[in-house]
Amino acid sequence: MAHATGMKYLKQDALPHMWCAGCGNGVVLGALARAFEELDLAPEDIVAVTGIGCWGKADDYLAVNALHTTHGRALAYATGVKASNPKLRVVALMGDGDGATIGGNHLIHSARRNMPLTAIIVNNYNYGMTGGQFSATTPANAFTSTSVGSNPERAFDICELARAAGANYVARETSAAGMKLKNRIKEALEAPGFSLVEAISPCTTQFGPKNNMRRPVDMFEWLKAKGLPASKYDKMVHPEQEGFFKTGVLVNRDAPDFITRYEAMRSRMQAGGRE
Amino acid sequence: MQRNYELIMAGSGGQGLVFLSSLLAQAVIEDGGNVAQTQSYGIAQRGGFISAEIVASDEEILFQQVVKPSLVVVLHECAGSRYDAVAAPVLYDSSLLAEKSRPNNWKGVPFSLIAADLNAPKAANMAALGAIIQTVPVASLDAVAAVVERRFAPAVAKINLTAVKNGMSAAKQVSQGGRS
Amino acid sequence: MKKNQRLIQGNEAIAFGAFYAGARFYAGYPITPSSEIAEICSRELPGLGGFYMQMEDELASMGAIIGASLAGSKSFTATSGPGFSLMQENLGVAIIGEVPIVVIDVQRSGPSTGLATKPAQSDFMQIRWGRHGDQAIIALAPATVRECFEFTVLAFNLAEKYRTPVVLAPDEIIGHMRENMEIPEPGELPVVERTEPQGEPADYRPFCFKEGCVHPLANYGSERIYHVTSSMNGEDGFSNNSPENAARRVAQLHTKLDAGREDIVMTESFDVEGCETLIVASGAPVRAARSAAKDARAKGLKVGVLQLKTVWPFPELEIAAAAKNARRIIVPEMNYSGQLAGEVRKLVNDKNMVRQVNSYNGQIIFPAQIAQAIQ
Ligand SMILES: Cc1ncc(C[n+]2csc(CCOP(=O)(O)OP(=O)(O)O)c2C)c(N)n1
Repeated sequence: MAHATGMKYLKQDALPHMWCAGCGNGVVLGALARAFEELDLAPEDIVAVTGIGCWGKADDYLAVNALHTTHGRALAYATGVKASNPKLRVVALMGDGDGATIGGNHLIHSARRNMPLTAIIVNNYNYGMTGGQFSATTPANAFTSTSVGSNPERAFDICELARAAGANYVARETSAAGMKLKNRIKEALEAPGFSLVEAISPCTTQFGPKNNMRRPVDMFEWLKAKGLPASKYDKMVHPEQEGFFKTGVLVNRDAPDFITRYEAMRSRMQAGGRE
Repeated sequence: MQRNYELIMAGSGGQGLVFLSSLLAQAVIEDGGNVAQTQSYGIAQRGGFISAEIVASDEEILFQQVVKPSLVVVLHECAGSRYDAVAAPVLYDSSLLAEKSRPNNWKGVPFSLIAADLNAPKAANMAALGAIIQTVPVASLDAVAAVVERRFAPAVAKINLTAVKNGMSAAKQVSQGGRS
Repeated sequence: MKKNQRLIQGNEAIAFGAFYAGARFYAGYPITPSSEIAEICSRELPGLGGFYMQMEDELASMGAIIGASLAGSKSFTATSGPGFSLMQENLGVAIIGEVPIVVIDVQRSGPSTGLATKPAQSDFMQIRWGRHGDQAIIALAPATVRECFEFTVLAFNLAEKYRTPVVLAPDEIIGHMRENMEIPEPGELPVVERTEPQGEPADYRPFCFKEGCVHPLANYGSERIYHVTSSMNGEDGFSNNSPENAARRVAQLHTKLDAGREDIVMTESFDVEGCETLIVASGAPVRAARSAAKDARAKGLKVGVLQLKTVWPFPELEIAAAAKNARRIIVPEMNYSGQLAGEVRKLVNDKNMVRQVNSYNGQIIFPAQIAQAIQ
């Protein structure tokens, strides 16, 4: 089989994309398009729902159905699309501000409901689009445009949050590992129920330069050094884990999803389960 | 028949007063009339003063609320002095409200006692329903019976209908100057 | 007498009206005085093959119904003041994305949490202007339980026909009151279905910015792939930053409703022919107004009532025509500032001829209050 390029899923006349040199969004977009291709999904059966932010502009480059929504609410729109037509493959593309900060409530409730959607959150540790302010995933003590004296807040672990809230599938990779990312996205698209892939990614214009990683390559090297597979990460004891993050598949279970549970309820009602 | 009635039912949340008003409204419809039923929604579902209103007419109902009541029913002391100045007849639950001197247009009917005698304490509102249709011909007994039979299982419907009829005769006695 | 008269609550009639119109998707977050609509949807939609979704908040509710509509289901939500405020940003998406949805705002007394169970008509301006960015919207206000049903069907029809959100704005009185009505048989009221786009799927464009144009909407999952975006966009649904495009886009969002004005703007007049006093009202105050007008006419006064069934676009022509011979216009409404009265005042030269009757304490307007203004 020829190597998947994903081109069929990209709006080629819109390229090149608007993202900064060294930004990881292009890698994630490529991984997504290749995942679609390897799963042989029909573009008309896919709906890409995006929020607002740099990564939220990904729909501009996608030749599938798309719904570009408001900041933080992509999962809510995606929920309606999916329930209205469960045959559709629905992906929600969100930044860390979008998906885990302003939209944190929808994230936990989509996971709790086990809504059969795939959320792809690009975590670049800050609000890239609006000039690099801190988000709910900005590490404590990091420097951003609104934490010039270092970030006094603590960060969310998006994957742990999704796990605790009930997601069926949770994985994390970095945009320095495009192939792994594509594989995780494929698995997520095939997983029943709510699936989430967190792509840790460099913001080479905002976050990197403010935190002693002046050149794009500095941030990529940092990602490569800090992201550890479970086999390595889990061997470290607590204080050593500080500053590192675990990559790979973190949660994989098959609890019945919302649509399945709703249909079961519908059958019970139709069998006379109500007055 | 040209009907134009405005009724107020007042009491405490949980007494089945809104339900009473909706049964009465359905009886009006059963008799071919138009009806508007409203209620004052409070924060509390149980306890506390509530009231329901019925406007019944053979014509189109313009204003939905009671302006000049034809009858007021008071099921609980918490109604206070709200209806002291009303000119229309006021039926009150004489087995529940305190014994005291009341205006001449106030007629006590022992709704709760009637219900208790039937071993169905919840049917006090049904006795009130009977007293209402006895006092003002807003709906016929036939219509009330039809609605009650539709709304309840046969055994319950039977008790409720007895409560309605007993409420009617008690109200008749009172209006003829019997015990109050 | 009609045979199938039933006692029905306004909110219940709204839910039944929605089902009658073919609505099969409801997403909402409970709030008094609208919650009966959610409860009925949760009970009935599974059996109708539809979905009831209780979302985590009203932002999500609005997002979900927009998504559901684009995926092919007639969709709606119901709320009241606080929830309606939360819906504004996403309601704007339905406007720029030209997504047919119906939003029920059972108006209650504010500001803020206010008198949560009491009636008001203080959201008219929020319905019209509550979102950032210039835009137009349709809003209807029923005055009877039967109108709750009919206007809900109409709201869905207008939403589909003009590809726009439609707000149905009963006040708490109308939402909670019960009246006798006969549920229309299928086929009795017209129901507008989405028109399928024509032409080659590859050539499909989700929008058309010609003046007054309403372009057919495809459903996600059909052979027509398309984009909808909250950003300024071209006819292909993709982002477009050109000023020329933006001008055409914004204008078309307005002109499509201007072009449909005759269809959209509904009023009913009661004895307005030659009236010297015209009462202009919407929702529950229509009833008090008609009652007061009837008494006044019995005394020989020439008093007419114009009911605004459509509140937005504002029925300017209809009011001007009804007020032709009027020396006085009375506008009763359940708010302090005179949200409708202000619009009426814009239509007359002599601002003093418009008299307001306002209630803003959670209490309804009685005929006697209007009678006083007639004198
Ligand atoms: C309601 C609302 N508040 C604020 C904004 C401004 N805003 C746009 S994008 C953004 C943050 C984007 O950050 P993130 O989601 O992390 O995505 P990134 O740009 O980093 O990819 C903000 C705050 C907005 N568009 N809407």
